[in-house]
Amino acid sequence: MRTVWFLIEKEVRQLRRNRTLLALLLVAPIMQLVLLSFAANYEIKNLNLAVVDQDHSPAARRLLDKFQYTPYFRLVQVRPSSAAADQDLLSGRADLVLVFPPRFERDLVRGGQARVQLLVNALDNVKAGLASSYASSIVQAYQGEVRPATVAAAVGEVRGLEVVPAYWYNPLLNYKTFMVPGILVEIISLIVMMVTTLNIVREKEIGTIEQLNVTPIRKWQFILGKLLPFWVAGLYQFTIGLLLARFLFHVPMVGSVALLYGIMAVFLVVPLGLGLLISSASQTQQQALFVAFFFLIIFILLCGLFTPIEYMPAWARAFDRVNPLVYIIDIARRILLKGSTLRDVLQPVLTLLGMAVLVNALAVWRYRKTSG
Amino acid sequence: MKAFLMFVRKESYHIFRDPRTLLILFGMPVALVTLFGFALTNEIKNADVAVLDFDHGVHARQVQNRLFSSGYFGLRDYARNYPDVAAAFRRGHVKLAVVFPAGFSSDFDHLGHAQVQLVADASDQNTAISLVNYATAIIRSYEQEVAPHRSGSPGPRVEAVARLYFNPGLKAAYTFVPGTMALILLLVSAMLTSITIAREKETGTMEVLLVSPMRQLPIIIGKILPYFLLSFVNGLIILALGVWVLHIPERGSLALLILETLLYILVALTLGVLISTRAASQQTAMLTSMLGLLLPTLILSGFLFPIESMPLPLQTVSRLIPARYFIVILKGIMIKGLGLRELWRETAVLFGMAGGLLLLALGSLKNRLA
Amino acid sequence: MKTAAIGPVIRCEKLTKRFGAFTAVDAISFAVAPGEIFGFLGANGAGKTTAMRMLCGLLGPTEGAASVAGFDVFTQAERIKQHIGYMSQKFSLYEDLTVRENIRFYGGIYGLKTAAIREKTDALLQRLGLEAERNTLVGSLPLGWKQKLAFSVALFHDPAVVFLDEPTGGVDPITRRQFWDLIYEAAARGVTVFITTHYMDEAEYCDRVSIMVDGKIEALDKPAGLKQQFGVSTMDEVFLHLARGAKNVE
Repeated sequence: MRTVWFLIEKEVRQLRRNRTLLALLLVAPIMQLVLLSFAANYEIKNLNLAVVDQDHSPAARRLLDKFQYTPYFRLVQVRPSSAAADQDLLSGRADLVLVFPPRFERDLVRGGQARVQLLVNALDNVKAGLASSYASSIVQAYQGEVRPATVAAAVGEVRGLEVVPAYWYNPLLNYKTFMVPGILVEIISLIVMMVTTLNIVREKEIGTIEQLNVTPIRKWQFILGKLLPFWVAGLYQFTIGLLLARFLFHVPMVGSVALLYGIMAVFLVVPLGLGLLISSASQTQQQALFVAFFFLIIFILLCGLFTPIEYMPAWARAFDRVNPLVYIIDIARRILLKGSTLRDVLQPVLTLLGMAVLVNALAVWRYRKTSG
Repeated sequence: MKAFLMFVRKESYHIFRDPRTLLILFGMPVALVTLFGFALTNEIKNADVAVLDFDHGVHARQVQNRLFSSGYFGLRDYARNYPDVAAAFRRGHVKLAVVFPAGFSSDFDHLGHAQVQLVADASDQNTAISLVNYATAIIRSYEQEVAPHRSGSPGPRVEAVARLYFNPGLKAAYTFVPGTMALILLLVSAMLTSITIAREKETGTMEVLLVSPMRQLPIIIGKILPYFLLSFVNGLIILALGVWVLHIPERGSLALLILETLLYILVALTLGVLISTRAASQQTAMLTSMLGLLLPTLILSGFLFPIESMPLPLQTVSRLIPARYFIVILKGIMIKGLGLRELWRETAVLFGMAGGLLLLALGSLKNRLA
Repeated sequence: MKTAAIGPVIRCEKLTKRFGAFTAVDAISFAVAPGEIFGFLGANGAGKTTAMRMLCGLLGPTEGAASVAGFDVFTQAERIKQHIGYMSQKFSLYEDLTVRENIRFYGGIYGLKTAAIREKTDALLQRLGLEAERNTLVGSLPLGWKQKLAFSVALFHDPAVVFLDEPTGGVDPITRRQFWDLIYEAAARGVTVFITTHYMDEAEYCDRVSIMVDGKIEALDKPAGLKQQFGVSTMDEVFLHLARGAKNVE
């Protein structure tokens, strides 16, 4: 253990002198968390609305006003014809075009039935779906208003089938509650894995590794000495991140934070060990970086934070069984938002523990003091 | 000029002599674009659902049949009470529970009004919202069919007729594939150049070049050119994958598409050069390009999150992300069939970025010499 | 420092290293006695670094037999490492650590007690005249000082043998002379010195010299003996005479 201590002391001293690396390790994650968490919002509002009003009636005016009073739409263009509005859709100036045909008001008052047309830019499928469903509800509400009082009384409160949604664990649908813990573990994994990936192979390139290889140092001591300093850095990042999550983003913390800490301590060993494994198997920093990048970007994009794992094809879901981010994000959400206990999350925790042991055992095995 | 060509040749040797680098260069982008092109989607398929049926009536059964024959949902559990639902959510098996209260069917038949509850696990918010939206739509269509007279209440009616442009099938690929292409092309090109130059600085060969009689601009161009060609081949492969494997249409001008891709690659490479001239070591160059480019491009480019919903300061930050413009250009040319007349603004911004980054890189090279 | 056996501290019997079809070290045999300064000469590419790396346990041998400090190179490479010091041609102390931190680090890795490290560090710095530089980053020291420091660090844990791979490359003659004073001091304390070099004047300082050509040891004797054997007056001429016939020259 004493040998490991000397290694750690050395790493910390080198780190202290490398200002850029230190900043990347201690400051960058916090900046990224704050910046990206405010941006990572799937909520769709401020959709650009163009209008083609061929009726110019008060009735049309009132419906248009209703669109503008919601946070979902903002009127950006008024066009004389559908053809002109088509250009807005093409150029991306408008997401939605609302078309009032001539005689809209007359049809509504005399015939009791009128129609408006919605031209939707469907390039982004989610945006398009939401835009048309928001628009339909606005039109529905408008219809209720224009209905004469006598008719409304006669019809009564017939509402048909009512669908009542209930959003458990996040009733206000606050996206930060969902995103912040996920982005936090992504940033931490990214940084600690990159730093360890470059560590051993850098000593190889500089040549100092050879001097270490002629000492009687044990392979596990070497790996442990490389791992621990960055493990501490990862826990530091996690601490600051949790504080920000609690006090800046108001993420609820229903379950035991201590439990989450303990699990995070186990989890961190996975990206760290993976970095060390790649590092000890690589010849140059360039090579190591690209291999690590390959794994990291897959871990990050497929972890379910950005698109649901449930919708991915079977092979991608199968891959996600070995994606450590999937487990830790799931555990973090369950503990923080649902108050899950260790019993509830035991299975993913054991999986992470298994991964941690495996990758580090591989790293020790792959680190060669002797070549040829 | 002769010296310049020699220089380009030397750079090319470095690249082609190392098969591992080549594999990384060509194999990795192909693997990643294909992988993400297929895996990233927000189209619901067979989502696991729990049912909590206190009613056991005809309508409850019919609604369930509708849900589970739609292809969007699959029955996972029958819960007996709310704690069962909570337990299922905690285990993470299901994300949505459909609750039929007692008397649901008879209320609907006799009073003409009944409630069905959709309980969603909103700790996974996106999934929750989309599941609720899909399920609501299916229940609505059932209502329309069983009791058309009820929904069509008397009085004036306004009908909204929606027409979907560009992507009537609402395919998720049209959103995700162009974003993936922009992300991968930027990262691979920028990282590769930044590392290569930082490496030369570390091994000292850069000093030799800088004291040589060659001017700085030729040095930078000579460094970039081989990677430019490589990245261009990469770009072509990625475009081909998009069209033939991931089925994104190519409705606009192919020539324009290729030229815009070249421009984007140029921005990525100059970005890499700038990072490497500023970084003290390979290590910092690599960490800066990975940390500075990966997550910001992913989150701020409009690839995954709508830019209009971001707070204003971040909308401004997103203007600095090259991928934001390239995504608009890709979608514009490929899916909408636009030309330069509609896309000149994005193109001009990319031009400006390439020029600005090149000037900055030259500036920091000069500083190092002084 | 205890050594496992009395007698030769390094012993090679037909030690061979092949990389694919290429034989880098071809059945070399020799023995080095305790306290001896053994010069290991050869042109670039003759195989001397390969041979040395095998003896240090950095490279696995292909066949033959060898032992260092009484431990077998094939099976006890890690035990050998406790008893040897090594200084490679590439400077390999940490440039971003201070003089004192480098010494403390290697002392700790070899398992020296903290108090012993402190004591020996003071003595070492005094001997090298580096007391004023104890808190200077190694990267900012002149090359000659770095190399003297690296040598002292290689000896810090009192090894039985120290392997020096072209230790004086790129150093001025005065520093080279001082470096050899350090080598003599170490040898006088009973440390075996195994050294490769390109400088023929340095070969003259060795007790015995071996010359490798194409992976084989072509000559091995005291410098005076070699000159007599080839009927020449300098080691330079001995070397040229042997190296001229070489096939594998870089």
